[in-house]
Amino acid sequence: MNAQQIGAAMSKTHLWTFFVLALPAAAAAQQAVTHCDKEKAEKARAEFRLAMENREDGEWWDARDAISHLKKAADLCPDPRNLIPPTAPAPFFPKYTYIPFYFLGTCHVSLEEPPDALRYFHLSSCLGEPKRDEDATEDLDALAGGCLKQIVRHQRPNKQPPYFSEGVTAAKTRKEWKRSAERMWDSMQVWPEDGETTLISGRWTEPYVPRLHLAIALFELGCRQQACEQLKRSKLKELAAKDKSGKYDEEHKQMEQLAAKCSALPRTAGPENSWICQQWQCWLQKDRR
Amino acid sequence: MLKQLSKNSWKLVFAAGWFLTAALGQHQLMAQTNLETNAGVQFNFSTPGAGNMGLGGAFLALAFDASAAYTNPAGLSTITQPEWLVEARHWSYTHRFTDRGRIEGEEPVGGPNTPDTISGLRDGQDEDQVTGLSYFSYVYPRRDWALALYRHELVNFEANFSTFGAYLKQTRSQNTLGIPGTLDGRLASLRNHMEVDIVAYGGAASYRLGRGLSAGVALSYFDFTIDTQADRFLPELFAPPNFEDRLVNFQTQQGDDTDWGVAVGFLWESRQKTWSVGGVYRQGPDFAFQARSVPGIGAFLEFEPRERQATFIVPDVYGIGIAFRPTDALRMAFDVDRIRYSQLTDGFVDIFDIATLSPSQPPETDRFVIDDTNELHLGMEYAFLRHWPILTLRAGAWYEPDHSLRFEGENVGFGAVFRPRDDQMHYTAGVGIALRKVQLDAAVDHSDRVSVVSLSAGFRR
Repeated sequence: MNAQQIGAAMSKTHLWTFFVLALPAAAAAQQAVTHCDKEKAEKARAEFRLAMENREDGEWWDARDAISHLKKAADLCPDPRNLIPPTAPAPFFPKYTYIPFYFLGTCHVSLEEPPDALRYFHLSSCLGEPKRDEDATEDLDALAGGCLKQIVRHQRPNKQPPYFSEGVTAAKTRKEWKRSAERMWDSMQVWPEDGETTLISGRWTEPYVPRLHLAIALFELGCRQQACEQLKRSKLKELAAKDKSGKYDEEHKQMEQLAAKCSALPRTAGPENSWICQQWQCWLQKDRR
Repeated sequence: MLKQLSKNSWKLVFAAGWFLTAALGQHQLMAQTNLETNAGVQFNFSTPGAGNMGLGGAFLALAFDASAAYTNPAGLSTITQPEWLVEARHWSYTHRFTDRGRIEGEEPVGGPNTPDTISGLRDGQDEDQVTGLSYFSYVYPRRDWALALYRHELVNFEANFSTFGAYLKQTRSQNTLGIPGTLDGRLASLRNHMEVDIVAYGGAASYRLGRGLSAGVALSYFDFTIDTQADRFLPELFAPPNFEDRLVNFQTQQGDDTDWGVAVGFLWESRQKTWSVGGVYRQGPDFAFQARSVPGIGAFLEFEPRERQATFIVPDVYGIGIAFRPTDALRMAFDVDRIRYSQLTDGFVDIFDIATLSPSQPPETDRFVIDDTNELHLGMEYAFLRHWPILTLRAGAWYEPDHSLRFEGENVGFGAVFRPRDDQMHYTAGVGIALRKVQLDAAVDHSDRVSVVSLSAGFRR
């Protein structure tokens, strides 16, 4: 073996070593986010049981109450990994597999809230709930498709999606970044980013740049890498370059500030591990735009 | 959605509403007077905002800027960021009044040196103009509720006009008091001056109940001033009036007062905000003033000055409207407002005390009538969203039925002065320019009786 071949072999060794050591670490990091311990699993199960008390014959009779319990369960234990067996809300009641995101989606369907339902169905799919119970989730794809159709049905080329104005308001007035990010994603399912002037409330206007606002919200939520990726995908830069009227001035300034923060991020930073960023990883994969 | 408010909260809301209604409903009902000056003027109790005006005043179902604090407080829930609105208005009033001529059907006497040559009653016309800062408000919105403060100039009115004195049925007889009567030969010549100002200071709140429905309430503190004087000159039967002498008596309506008024409203928007429906009830305040009748230096017949308390009543308003917004750029709206003008004649006051001055002639105060009316408002606006800054054009119209104080009794003189007038059609137009933080709007409202120009500016952070 000459020196070059030895170097190549060593590089391969190093590479393999990296993968052998890093992959479990990355997997462990993800498990640390989605996986739960026994104590959390028990609490999650209790909340799940309370939620399922609202379900009868496949229908929800108090979906809002169910949502509050399902959310708590999902936050405690998104991925139970066999720690939570099928649960009955009460003796002699049917048992339900622990698939909180699927049921959250169906709750929002019953409340005629297709954007929230669609996001939960995506999470259900990303977190492997169909594998946990194929029978219960056999209609998952159909429900998700139905939600998307409902959202897109209200699209009018000359009428902005209402989600965009809600998202802008959530960010600017109340700094509710989670809500803002969700609404920007919802908005893009209806209509792609095109920079056209839209009415936010009354006669006040904003340019339709949901991807920029999504990037800003994700950065505030701590999902910095995802934020920077969305910033790169935003069309604002090219729109602002073509426009001489100054209507994008405010957004252009925001974009530059965020771009500077993205530039300052270390290149070797690993994937964000917080639960919210994991959710966004799922949703951004499912983004139809 | 109703579960969002706890049972205790609902009880509190109802109790507060009952208390407010009971507290604000406790006022004496003595009302306007039979002074002829009141026949020559008509008030419009305006709603604020140049944008609103440009839309023909059809704003109940839109109500999406800071003027909603007064117009329909439920609309405050549509405002998403703190904003201010300031407005200035210029009013041009045209007063029409019975000036000269002779009652229809009676032939003029004619002859040399006599003004009795006109068959039928003739109206006179005079104009006055007023300018002022008419509205200011600030809105602070949160997620499910919003608060606002405002100052609104409900009435800013001035009238100055003189009447010649029409001839009535009789020719020779003459009421030396100059007060309209059944046996008059000629009405007195009057020199009239009237100023009325009503300003509202208030606060409003709205709450989102869910499913697109919002409710709102506004509480206003009204400040009222009235200054009216009618100088009565008794002319020769066959000579023009002389406003220099023969002032037989004069009447005044003067006072300052305050009152509270409440307004409640609702607004429902469809999920896509394509359709919206809004409604409001605005309780009109009442103000006390002093009505006096005093003999003049040229009086033929002396009498004790009379002073009575009267009430200026702002009528209650019920309104409902619908709006359609098929695209972001286009909006159309239609409102119907029921104005309770008949309230103005509750407890009508005889400023002259005719029963004492002329016992054979009944005052007939119960024969003065104003009808409730239904105003119809229609408006449309189109925003050029591809233009920067945004340019918005507005047009509208509204129908104002006649709400003149009229007399339906036997007194020929009052019958000649207090006559029904024409219904009015108002035509409105407006333009707006919108930037990201500033909006400028201008509008004009024109009718035969009043023309208004409005300029408003809105600001947000």
